[in-house]
Amino acid sequence: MLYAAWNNMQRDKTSKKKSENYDGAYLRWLPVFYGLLALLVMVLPLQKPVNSARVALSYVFIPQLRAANAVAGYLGGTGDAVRNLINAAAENSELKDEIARLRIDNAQTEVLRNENERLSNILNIFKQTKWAGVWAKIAYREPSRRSMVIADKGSSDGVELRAPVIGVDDGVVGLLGKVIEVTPNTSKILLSTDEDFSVTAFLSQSRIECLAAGSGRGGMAAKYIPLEARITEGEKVYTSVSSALFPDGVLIGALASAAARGEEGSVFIAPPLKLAVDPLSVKEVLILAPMFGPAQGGAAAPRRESKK
Amino acid sequence: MILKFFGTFAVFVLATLLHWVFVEIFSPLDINVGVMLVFALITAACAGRARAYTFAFFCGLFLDFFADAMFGGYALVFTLLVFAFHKIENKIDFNGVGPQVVLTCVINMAATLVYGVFGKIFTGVFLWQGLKSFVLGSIITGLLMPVMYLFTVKYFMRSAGGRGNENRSIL
Repeated sequence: MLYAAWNNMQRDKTSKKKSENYDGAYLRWLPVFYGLLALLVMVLPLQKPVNSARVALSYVFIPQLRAANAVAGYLGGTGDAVRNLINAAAENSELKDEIARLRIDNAQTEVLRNENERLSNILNIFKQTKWAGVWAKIAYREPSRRSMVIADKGSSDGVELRAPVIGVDDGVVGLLGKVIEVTPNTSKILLSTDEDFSVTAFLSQSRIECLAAGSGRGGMAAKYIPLEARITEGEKVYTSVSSALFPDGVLIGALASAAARGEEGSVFIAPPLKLAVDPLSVKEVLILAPMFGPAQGGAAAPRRESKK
Repeated sequence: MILKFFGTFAVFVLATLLHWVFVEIFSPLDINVGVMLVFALITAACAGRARAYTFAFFCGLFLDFFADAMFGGYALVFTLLVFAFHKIENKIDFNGVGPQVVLTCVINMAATLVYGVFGKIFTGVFLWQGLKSFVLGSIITGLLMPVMYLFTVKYFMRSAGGRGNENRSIL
């Protein structure tokens, strides 16, 4: 029994060794086999078989190459598409900026066109008038006091204290106010609607002299009109020749109402005026020279004018 | 067995795809990148010898399919290089990035020279692709190796490390 077991063990060992030798030989001869096969393909004049082999191989390789080509094409196309998208995004951003700039330019152009039209009208109007002075733009409006504005011309441009100021609104020339402070480059204008402003005036039809004074509430009133005077609504009111500050014949406005009555027991009435020039919307003004020369104090020591 | 066959075939398909992509990129620059050689070496390092020789032979045959002359030349060169690789693989650590780059670079140069010599012997013309392709192509091939090695090991093999692990590899 032991002999049989020994024989079996020996037989197993021999069989395993034979198998390992077979595997080792197979692997040892494999590179030789492939090398000889390659040499055979290279050396032998097997043009037709090689071509046939190529054709046969093409059935294996060409689908892969087509797939590879498709992948490469897809990747290349993807790159172009991504590049185009990035370029489109950049162009989009630039175009948006351009549109924003053009909108601003357009708005500025619109403003300039309106300004040009307005100034042309003013120029045509003042060619026909006798007044001369300094043209100025309203640079700033006093927030705390709406009846006061600052013009962009000052004493260095010839503006003097107490100078009358005329404005133009929708082609109508009218009284706007007077200069109450002057600096070298700016001048402060008291508008006609201020309660501290007043000017002697006359009614164009009834020829009655009165005092046009600011109401302090954005309007003016024609004061000291006798109770029995025959006035009509819409009657034009001009500055009077007796005014010490303003030239005569400057339109102030028109009577808004003829039925206004004065205070209880008063012998005068004070009808409100509809102003010829809206002080809040005027943008350019003509600052005239003072009727009686420069005021004392000048630009260095501006002083506030009280009622005339 | 079937799993290993399909795994090897998948690597072969991947190799041909990448070869085509690299040809598309580097051919205009007159640079020949040895993508097929890279995968032949990876298979030689990670799979069994039988599959490594077969894989290398067919990789070479794939290149011969596109070569103008000496059909079978690349198959012979790749078979010899895998044989030489198996002779030296016990003396190097092919898992390291440095050895992978250097060895692949050197083997690619050797492949170019051997192929040229074979061309001289069998066709009478030394098949030379130019110094730029010889140097830059070998360097790019060497740099390609660690990336392809990691990718192949991660997605096509359970482990790497030569013939001792072939039973655990799908290659």
